[in-house]
Amino acid sequence: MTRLSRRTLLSGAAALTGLGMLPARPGIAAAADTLTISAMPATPSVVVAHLVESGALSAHGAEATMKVWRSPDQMRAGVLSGEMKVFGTPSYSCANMRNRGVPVRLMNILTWGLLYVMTRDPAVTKVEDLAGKPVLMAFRNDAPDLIFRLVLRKLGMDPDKDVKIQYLGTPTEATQLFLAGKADIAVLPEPVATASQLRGMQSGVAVQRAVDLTALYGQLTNRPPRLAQAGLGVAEDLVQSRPELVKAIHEACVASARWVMNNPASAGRLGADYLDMQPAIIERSLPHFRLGVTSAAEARPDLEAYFTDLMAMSPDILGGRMPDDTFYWGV
Amino acid sequence: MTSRRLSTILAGAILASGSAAAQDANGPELPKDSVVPVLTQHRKPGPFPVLPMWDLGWAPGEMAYRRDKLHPTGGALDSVMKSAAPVKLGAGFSNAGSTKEVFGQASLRTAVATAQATANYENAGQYEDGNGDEVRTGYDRHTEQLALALRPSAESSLRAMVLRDRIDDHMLPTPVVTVQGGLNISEGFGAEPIRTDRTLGLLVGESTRPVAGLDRIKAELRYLGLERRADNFTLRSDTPAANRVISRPSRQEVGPTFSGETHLSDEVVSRLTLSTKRIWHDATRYGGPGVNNIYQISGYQYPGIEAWESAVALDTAWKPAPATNLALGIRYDRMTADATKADNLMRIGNFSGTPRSLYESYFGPVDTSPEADMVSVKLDGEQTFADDRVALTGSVGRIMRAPDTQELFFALPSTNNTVLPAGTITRQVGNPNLDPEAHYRAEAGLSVRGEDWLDYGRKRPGGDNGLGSRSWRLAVSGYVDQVEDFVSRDRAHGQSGILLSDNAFIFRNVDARLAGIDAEAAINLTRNWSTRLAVSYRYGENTADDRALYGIDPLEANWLVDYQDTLGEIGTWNAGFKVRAVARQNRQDLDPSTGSGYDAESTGGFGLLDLYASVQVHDTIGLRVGIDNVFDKTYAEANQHNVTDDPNPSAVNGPGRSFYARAVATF
Repeated sequence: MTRLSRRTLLSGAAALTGLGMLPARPGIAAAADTLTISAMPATPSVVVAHLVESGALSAHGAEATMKVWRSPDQMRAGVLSGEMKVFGTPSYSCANMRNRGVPVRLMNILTWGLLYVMTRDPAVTKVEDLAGKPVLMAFRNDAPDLIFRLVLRKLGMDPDKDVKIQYLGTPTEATQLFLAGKADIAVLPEPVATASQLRGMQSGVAVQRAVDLTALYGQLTNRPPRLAQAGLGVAEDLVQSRPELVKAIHEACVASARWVMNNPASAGRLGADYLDMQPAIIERSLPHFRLGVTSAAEARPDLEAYFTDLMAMSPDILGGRMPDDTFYWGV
Repeated sequence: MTSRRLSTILAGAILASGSAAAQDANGPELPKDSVVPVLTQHRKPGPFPVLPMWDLGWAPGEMAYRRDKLHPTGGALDSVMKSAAPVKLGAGFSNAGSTKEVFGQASLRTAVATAQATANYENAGQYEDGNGDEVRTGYDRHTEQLALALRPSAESSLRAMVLRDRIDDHMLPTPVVTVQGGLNISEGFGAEPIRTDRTLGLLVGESTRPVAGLDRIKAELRYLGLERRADNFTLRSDTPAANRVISRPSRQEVGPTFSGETHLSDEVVSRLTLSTKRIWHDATRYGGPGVNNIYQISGYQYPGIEAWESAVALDTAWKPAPATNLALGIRYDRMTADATKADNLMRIGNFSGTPRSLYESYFGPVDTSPEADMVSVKLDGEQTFADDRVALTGSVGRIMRAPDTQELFFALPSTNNTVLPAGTITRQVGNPNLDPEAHYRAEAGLSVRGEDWLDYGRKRPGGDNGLGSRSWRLAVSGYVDQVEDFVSRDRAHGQSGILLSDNAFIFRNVDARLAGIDAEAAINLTRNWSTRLAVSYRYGENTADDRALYGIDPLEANWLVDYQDTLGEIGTWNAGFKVRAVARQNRQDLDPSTGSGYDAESTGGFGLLDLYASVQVHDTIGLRVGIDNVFDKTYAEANQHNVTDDPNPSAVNGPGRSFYARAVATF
């Protein structure tokens, strides 16, 4: 593809707009070229915060800002309305929207697995030790629940009989009951898993990471210890109109992820300004997030394997089918 | 499915931390310390503070002769020191006195226990002032601290801390005889603390398990020990044998504190605190000018003092509305003291007597076993507006303070000669007849911040930059304190109740008025550029004698400009400058023939420029460099940090231009 200069691109876009052939693009102010990235309220979004703060997109004529969506419904509504052009998303959620006709692609994967079995009981060191015990979990039938059930089945355990899964509304509720001693085991994602350890320290409760579910999942499926869990999604019209900008966003994510892993304390402070999260939680959760920026096209084999396993547990989780080829953005 | 209920696993962390904060902010909250503060003697000298052990925003070492009210932050070094690494090491060097500093900290944390060990070593020598003259100063210091915390359950904790601090060979400028108010008087520091050894111990047990109607109970045991040796010959070898003097102060304090807290309603919480402290304070002086006998008792700084200080405090916090906080504190204090050596003989020159006879010669009949019963009350209020961006605070109270052991019992006689510089003008006489101070104090404050303000150097992302930035903060506060029976340093001029007029250094009750105002403005122009201006003014008047009160700081302004880059791939860096402007203090108590003469004459106002920069790599190694007093100005603080109880300290010039470097590393 011929590399387009910013001037050429803007001229062309203006001309097309003037001819009424190109709709107005909410989310990008044409005159100022401001790009808002709607990030997840989670630690990997520190990568986006660094991207924004460092002006990584200025060479492409875009001034990036970051906002954090507060609920998945808000994110979904923003994507549907076209307001959110670049957004943080769980990978399967993006695929679900794509399969339901929303013109989006998955740009990249930022985090490769963040689910842990946390325990207050030092005797619990493997999944088999969960037999007969109550386990706290949030969101029945969502991906974390499905992954946990898949692992249990792979180990020959029946999730409905061999383990007493107690579902709560949110990971927060699960953490609170876990620390209060209502159950000794909880399946928690990062950064809630790290937060439970830090809060446990403050109140004299020893919380251990009994099982890294991502690593175990890989072991049981004969694959590397990783899950293509979440990353950035991008609106199709942005991919079509500003392909170089989309590429620049991805490459800036790669550079910013390097900064985050090299400077965890500074990343914690930066993240605290954006995410309303304590710097110490961000800093301490980073090693457990499997931060790694990979384009969706490169991650496709992992994504498809992940989607296949999810659909085997819940056929409708992706909207009934695998996403098509163009779903996977690549350089 | 759940396409409508996309995974909020990542959002859960925010809810977890946010909900905890919301719970804390809903109910009334008592201050950590008592509502009624514990006051201390005005301008009381003492050794260097024990904590903090280091200040990364400043040159290494303690600087008694430069007392900025505002220091820069540690900059890039802060992110290294605040990392989660368990071991932290640091070192620093300044060419002002060839000052060296090395420190280390190691932490071990589990769910049920935390242990932290910290150590610091400093060595400093003489430095050059702005004129290129050597200033006699220097010391050797090491400090060690061990802290342990046990959390046997979610509701209880046990903490223990031991700290030892030792300062050796602390050199001070030698005294010179001057003429002040027509009197020959020795100005400077008569003896040097050769060794100052302090030990602090703290044991705290706390439980939030409800018991007997209490929501929280706490028990504390504190110990403080001070051993000192001061003389005028170990480091001043040219002191004639006939004039050598030595003293060995010793002080121990030990006592428990018990408190219980209960919620009287959803809006009201109360805490009752009982405390008591046993004090032993003893210091004997041997030798002195013309004594020619280092074993002869020539005075008692603290003649075998045994004292009790006990208190009962009731603090109540009330939150009548979400944006309104009120706190009321009532405290009853009782002090009893006994000078057990009040009748011991001391001789120097042609003086022979006891501490009791010395007191009585100035104040008439005295009771060397004084007692004091005091009631203090204080009301604090805070009202916030506009989502807590505007805060209005106010406080009124009557706070009492008992005279301390120095003010009551100092007994350092001198020869009975009003003419010699070593005569009665060098005497220091405590006053057992002193009444407690009663402070009638009112304070008010206002702070306003923009919606993008997080902290100095932290701007909420987004928003306008430059002068349109909404990341700013303005704060102003002021107080007025009308003091009845203010315990003032003074000299014997035959005032009412003072039987002699020989210029001896004494303590007496006067009425005084103190006031102050602080104002600060700060703005983060961008995420990189920040600037801050802080102005402070203090006022003090001895209203009984219609003269300026000693030891009042002059008008001071500090202006900082900082640039920080927190986004470099390998690390972060920052650079900045600080301008400090101090006005001449025109309100001083200079004349020992009419007042105390405790103030050293101001050498005038001054302005100083400091530069600094830091860099850190991967939050593991940091380096800071700085130049203080770039233009090599000659200056002296109006109120330096005095480490000994000399009655007429001299002004000492601060360092001239100096360079320093600091390095920190974590493992």
